[in-house]
Amino acid sequence: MSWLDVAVALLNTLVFPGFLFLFNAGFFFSWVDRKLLARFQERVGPPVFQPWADFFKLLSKEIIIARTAFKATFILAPLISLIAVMLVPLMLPIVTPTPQFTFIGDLIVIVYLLILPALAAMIGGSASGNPYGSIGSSREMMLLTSYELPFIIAVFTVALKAGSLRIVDLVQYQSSNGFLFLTGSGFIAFLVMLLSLQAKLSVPPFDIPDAKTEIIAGPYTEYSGALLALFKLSHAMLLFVLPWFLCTLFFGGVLVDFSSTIRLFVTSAASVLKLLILLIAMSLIRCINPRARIDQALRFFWLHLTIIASVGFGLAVVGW
Amino acid sequence: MPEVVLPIGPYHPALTEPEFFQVYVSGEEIVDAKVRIGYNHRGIEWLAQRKTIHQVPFLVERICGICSNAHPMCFCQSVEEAGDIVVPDRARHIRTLIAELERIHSHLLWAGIASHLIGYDTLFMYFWRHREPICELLDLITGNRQHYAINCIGGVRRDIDLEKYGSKILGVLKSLTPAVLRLGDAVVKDRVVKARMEGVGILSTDNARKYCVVGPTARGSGIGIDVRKNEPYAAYRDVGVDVKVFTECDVMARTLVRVHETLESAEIVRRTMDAMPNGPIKAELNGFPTGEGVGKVEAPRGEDIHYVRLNGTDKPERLKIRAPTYMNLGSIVPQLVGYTIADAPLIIGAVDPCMCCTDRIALVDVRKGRKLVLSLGELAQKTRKNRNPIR
Amino acid sequence: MGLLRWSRRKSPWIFHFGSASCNNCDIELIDALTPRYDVERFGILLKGSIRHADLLVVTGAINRLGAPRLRRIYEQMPKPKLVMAVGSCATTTGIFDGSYSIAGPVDRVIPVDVYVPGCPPRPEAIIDGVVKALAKL
Repeated sequence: MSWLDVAVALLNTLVFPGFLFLFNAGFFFSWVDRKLLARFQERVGPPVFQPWADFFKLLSKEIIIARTAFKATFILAPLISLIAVMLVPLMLPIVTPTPQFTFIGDLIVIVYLLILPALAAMIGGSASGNPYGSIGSSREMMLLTSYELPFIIAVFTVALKAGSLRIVDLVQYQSSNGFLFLTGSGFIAFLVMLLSLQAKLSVPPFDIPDAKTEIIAGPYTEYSGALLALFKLSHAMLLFVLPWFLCTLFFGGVLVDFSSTIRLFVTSAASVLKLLILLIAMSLIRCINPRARIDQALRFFWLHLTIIASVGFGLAVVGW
Repeated sequence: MPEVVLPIGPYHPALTEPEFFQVYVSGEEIVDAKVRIGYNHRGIEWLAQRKTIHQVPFLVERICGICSNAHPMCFCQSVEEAGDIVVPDRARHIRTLIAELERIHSHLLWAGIASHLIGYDTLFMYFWRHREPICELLDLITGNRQHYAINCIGGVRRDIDLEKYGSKILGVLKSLTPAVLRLGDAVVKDRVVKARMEGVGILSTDNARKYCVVGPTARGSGIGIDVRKNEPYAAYRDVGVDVKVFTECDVMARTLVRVHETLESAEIVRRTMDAMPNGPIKAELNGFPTGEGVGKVEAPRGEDIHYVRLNGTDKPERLKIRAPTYMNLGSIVPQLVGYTIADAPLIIGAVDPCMCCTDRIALVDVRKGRKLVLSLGELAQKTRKNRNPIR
Repeated sequence: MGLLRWSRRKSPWIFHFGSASCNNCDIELIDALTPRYDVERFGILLKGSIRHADLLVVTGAINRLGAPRLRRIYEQMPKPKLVMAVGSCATTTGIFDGSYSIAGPVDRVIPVDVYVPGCPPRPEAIIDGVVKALAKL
């Protein structure tokens, strides 16, 4: 590997589409989400710089670690969450069709990395030495095992349709065969993933581990200062990465065509629009729903959504 | 599975006030619960003995912010009974008007909090947004958004100029009724809300009777008691009340009771405004009365009872307050057992606990050798002797 | 104004502690979150955990049972922290002055930065209190 390769890799990791880009894009999407919720509730909502202000304020606060907490895991959890979310964009194409890393099976690696934030919340919660933390952690665990199943079935549906476990191949398949969203199995897989993402992001109706009125702040109860800031940052980044992932899988990816100025304009606008529409769809589901109870959520994912996802998979097998 | 004690309270985001529910859980299921109160105790009955009877309405008003009209009205009624004071008609109607407006605001507040408890923040915002015009209205006609200070012994302190404010009141009620119907539908018909509320927190009619619950908690469990109907006070005999009872005994039933009551209160306000007689707003008082009196009022949470003993001096000898939540609290335990932690805040919230109303203790003054604590039998006897119900 | 100082002023997260209060101040506080007043415009969020908060809002006169718990909550709050006493009862025990079960107004238990009098103070007054508290940061 030459120096140039290393430099490009570093640039990708730290600037675009790495840390700096994700930092700002994630907070922007977080603002859109909050503003939409406020508008829906007939309020004005926060100004655009709000998520940045929240982050820097948290950085300036004191970090208190309870005596009953298990220090190493407590501190490690937000770091794991952040790093996992930062690794995903290195495998997703943006602007150009080739991401930093592409190999067979990178789809599975992404699914694995997307599990890590929830896992980190879990271990952080149990390491915090607080009964609310441990209840939040156990709820996260129960929820995690339930929504991952339909999610993974949906991912495999897409892979089966496009005939490959490589993201780049999926994008290429869509550029020649049209969006996967427009196929029968693709549509079902999209719906299944959209609902699972609500649980992944811990937003209503599935914000059960985070239920403020029931268990204070769930796994995040004992977190303060910079550690909480890292968790919030990884959430915001996830809010950008997940629509991006959905877009790549079902809507042809976030790509820009450099062949002419007009195409450049149109495809850039289309890409941004695709991402925003997906974000708005996720936000709207959040606005109009109360919180489900854990047993109701489990039933929903294990039973209803798994059946629907399997139907989608079946459709992909027969070629629809 | 080993039992874990989950403390809900005393200071918890689900509860605006400190109260301690020691909930014994096995996994997510609740197996037992104990209620511990006392965190909101302020020594009000003790303080009341050190204030004049004209100052006490302001003190008891601050027992609770949400039923801030019920307590002074109840106290004034008890003194009026002790001293055989007849309240003029216009004052009775004004008391009814303010009491019903307070009921509307209290139920809308409750609906918002209940939505918030199940995580439905959008509905919480909508309910409280519709509550604002009522608060503004009360600010306009009484001078304050919350503690109205409208009751005084013998009548009301302020007159309401219906020519000036009548159209405003009707306007607010007119925009309120369709909003409440729409939001009520949103609660009753939404699938996820129904899943959280139906069949949850069942308090069977038998249990409800055993625990002597009052108010919407009772009316949601098939017991149709309402002081406004059973022992009419203020102007309720003149304007009438329609009391609806639901028999499903779950959280949804209690919600429906409150939705219905909100709409009914709007009707009562309209009827009271139509029937408002002219005349004085306060009775003349000669000196300080002597004797014992009991006042009963249907506060938004249920039956509120005030007992006062006067001895001709300016200070009451003894004031005993029995707030509605005191009776409803014990019934939370059978409602919680068998359900999950996630249901707990909603079940507790559906009873609409008002801890600030509840934290009373009995004061026994043994120095004077006199029994100042009434037994249940004695209290029942006193209330049965209330021959003239219009107070 | 440095970045950190700016961010602290633009993002005050509140934790509400209600001791022996009549609830009115609590309700006016929550009212400030609702569409009419909407304090999220200023970045104010009501948080469930004390570890996430910058501003501790105390309502009600402090009960003898509540006083040690208030002290503990105050100590659990990460620095920099501010305390706001809302309502007549929190600032001066109000009408409950002299009662045997009241330990005193809030400043007997923890240091207070801003006092907001009123019974109850209007949501506008509470917002004004938060603004004055932030000027201390």
